[in-house]
Amino acid sequence: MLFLAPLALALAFVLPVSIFLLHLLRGGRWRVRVSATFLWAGLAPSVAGHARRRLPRLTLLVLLQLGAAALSGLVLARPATPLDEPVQHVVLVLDASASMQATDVRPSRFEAARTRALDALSHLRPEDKVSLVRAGPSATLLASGSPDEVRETLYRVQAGDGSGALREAIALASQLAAHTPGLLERILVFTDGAFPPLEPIGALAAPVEFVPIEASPDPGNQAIVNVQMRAQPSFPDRRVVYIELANLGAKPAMLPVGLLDAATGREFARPVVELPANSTGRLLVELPTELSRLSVVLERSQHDALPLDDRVEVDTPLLGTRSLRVLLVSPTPTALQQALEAIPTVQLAVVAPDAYPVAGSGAELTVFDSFVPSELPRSPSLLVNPPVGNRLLPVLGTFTAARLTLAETGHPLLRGVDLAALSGTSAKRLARVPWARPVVATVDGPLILEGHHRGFPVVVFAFDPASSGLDKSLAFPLLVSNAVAQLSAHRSGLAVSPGEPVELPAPSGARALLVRPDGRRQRLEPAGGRLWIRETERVGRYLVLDEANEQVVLASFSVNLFDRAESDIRPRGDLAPLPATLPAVADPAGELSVREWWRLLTAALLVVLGIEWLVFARRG
Amino acid sequence: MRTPFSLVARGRATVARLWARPPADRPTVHLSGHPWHRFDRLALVGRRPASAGPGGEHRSRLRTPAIDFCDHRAYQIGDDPRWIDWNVYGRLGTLQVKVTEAEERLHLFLVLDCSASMDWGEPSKLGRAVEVVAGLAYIGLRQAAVVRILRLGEQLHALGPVTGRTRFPEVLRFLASTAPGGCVALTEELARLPATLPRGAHPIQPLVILVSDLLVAEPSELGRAFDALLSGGADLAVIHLLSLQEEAPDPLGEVELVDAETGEILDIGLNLETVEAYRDRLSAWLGEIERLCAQRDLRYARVRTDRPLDSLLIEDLRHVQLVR
Repeated sequence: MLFLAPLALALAFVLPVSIFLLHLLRGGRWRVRVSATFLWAGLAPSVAGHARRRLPRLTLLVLLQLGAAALSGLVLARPATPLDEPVQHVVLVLDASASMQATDVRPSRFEAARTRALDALSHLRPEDKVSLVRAGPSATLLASGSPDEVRETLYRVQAGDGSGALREAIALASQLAAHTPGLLERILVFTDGAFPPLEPIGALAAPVEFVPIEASPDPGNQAIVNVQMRAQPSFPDRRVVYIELANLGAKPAMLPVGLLDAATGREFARPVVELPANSTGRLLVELPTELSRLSVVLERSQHDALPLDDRVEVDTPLLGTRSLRVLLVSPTPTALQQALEAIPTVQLAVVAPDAYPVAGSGAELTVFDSFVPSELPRSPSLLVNPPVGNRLLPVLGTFTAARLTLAETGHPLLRGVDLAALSGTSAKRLARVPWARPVVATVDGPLILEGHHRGFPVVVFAFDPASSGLDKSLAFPLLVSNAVAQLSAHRSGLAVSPGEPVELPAPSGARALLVRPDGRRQRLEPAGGRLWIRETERVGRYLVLDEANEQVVLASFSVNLFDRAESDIRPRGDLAPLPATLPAVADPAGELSVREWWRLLTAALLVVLGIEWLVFARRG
Repeated sequence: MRTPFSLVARGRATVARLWARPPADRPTVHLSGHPWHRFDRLALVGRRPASAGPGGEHRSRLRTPAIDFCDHRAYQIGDDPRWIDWNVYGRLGTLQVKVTEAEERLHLFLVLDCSASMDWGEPSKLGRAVEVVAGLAYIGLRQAAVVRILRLGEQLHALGPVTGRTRFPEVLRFLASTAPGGCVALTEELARLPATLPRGAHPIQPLVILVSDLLVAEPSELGRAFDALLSGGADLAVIHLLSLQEEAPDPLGEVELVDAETGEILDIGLNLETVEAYRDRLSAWLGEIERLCAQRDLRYARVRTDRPLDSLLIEDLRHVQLVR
């Protein structure tokens, strides 16, 4: 038996002694006022000569009071017994990526992971501490506390429709473990293993143990991994949709693909694609002229364990011939001009920096090559190779890109781009600016940035494509095409990945109401003239309605998975345990690996006081 | 044994009671909210002829010319022939005269004991005594009696004479300022009372109502004081207040009993036997008081302070024929 506050133990002695002394000194003689004493005189022998200080009689009441006083001191001293095993702090990391919705494990991998997590909780003691981290598009701490407290949260957590930030979740779990020195920390990751090899996490404060779900080694999954719309080169007024399909299983598949007008639900084409095992297929279908929103549905076969990537919905605005007016401001426009002219929708105009600004150009997108004006136009801009001395993006020097340290692989700017082509490019080292964030970066500085300046989207290429030879590679026109698509996304409909924040211009004179694919509604409050929608984890159609008249659609966008890595639900990750790399920190107080008894003693104290009260009340 | 833990609740109640108790120089009772109209149908009953003259509403034993018919009696020589009932003579052939009942004013003296012993008990005897006096004054004023109120304390305070129900607020204000008055020699004060009675052309025979706890060690002294009052022609009635705590004290162990009035301290061990002996003594003392009043044909009402005022005035005092 230990006492965590041993000084308070003195009270267990002092209080009973005080009560005893009180009885002793008071001598049991009370002064009572009566209306007249003559009625009492001579009724009993006078006790005036009796000793006033006498030992109190040990009645039941006195004994109860002494017991209550002793218990009070004991409670304050915090008695405890050492535990056979130290108190644990277990951080549960729950993989909430889209692959966890696969149904090869009944009812789903995520439910199996939840069951395993609940099982792990049931083996913990009430004094153990548990934290629950969800690895969705971002890592989130959901709950922290006793096993019972975390169990309630665990029942409510849901799988997401996007990627799983497992690396960030383990890093967060390590930070949580580092905050509880003295406890036996463990990190348990409940996952299906369907993720690419994790990048180095860094120092770990606790060992990581992967708890794999018993997923099938070849569950089979067919997915729509890409949908692009483009104009026909020979007939620019006609639109074709490019659909990329993947068979991520060991068996060949015949895939009927339904193409529907999402507005009316009418199917206008139903081609069948035959895909061998572990292969990718492409489909090119001409769209009806009046189609505004396309829905592509993959008929699900019995070897398709993940329905999430079998249906997508994309906006298909009327593009027209060369309908996007782009102004290229460049001293030597050769490479950029070729890349831009290769985009069917672009109507290009080229001017030298000396001629800028061009009055009445009506450009919807301006590309500045080796030139940055003192003030950007009030439209989207692409800045390529910012020159030294510009005020918008201060240039600190130049560097040659070696190893990439940051690359958002799922970013729309990098779709289809082989990033290896960026290695060895010569780029400007740009000062950090608050309105832009890096998308691709090296240790020396960012290569590609994106952001919003004065409310308009801006993409920055920090490198000079001509001098570094990048313009000769296939990656450059793709990069330019992606940048143009990104900067004109507001025009041709947004392409949003699950979990990606969406920024929309705030409507003037109307209150915006967001309706999510699952029917949940949320009032959107504008901030700085923009609407921010951060919860986009569910795939499907998001509608921004006028709150006053919900028939009016102010904006809309679709969230689609389009993630081949996430559609590949075959376990392939390395699930070997990761050891802790930080030294264990001893608990300075050394008082946590014990079981405290103060609650039980407090209950006993209340019972004793209640009995004492009852005894007194019955005696009147 | 009374012990610290158990005393928490009782101590809290005591603190609350002490907190609620007003200082001695402030009124101890609040009379204004009482529904006095409930006593409208009550009337005081005197045993002496009302002496404050005609015009009151007090029913007199005098059979005087008046309009309220009371009885017939045979005609006697000397009777005024105008009072002969000729209708009776026509039917019976005998001479009968009509007897009528006069209504006269009553002298009402309300004597309130304000000694420190009255400031005791729960509820306080003094508070209940003040309410009783107020109620009697209300009844008296409604009967157009001449009301005087005497407070026996360290100093004698008197109100009156007041007549007419419109003076009742004045009576309430006087009574509301009542405070316990320390040590009072009740027998001496009562013996001096005849001297304070008003004297006019005719000797008055007031109805004197004493409201007190009568805590006098020697009841015989009280008898002598009563005799002095009676010899002055007063019609004396006694309302004896007794608190519940006086009737049934708790056995408390060894205590120091402090006399509320004299401050005298008595060391005594209070056990069940002592309390039983006290009850016997109290019973004997009360019997002695009652016998003393009965010997003098006084109307004596012993009332407990926890009785509601309405029950006390309407039932207890009617029982002893002090009111009707």
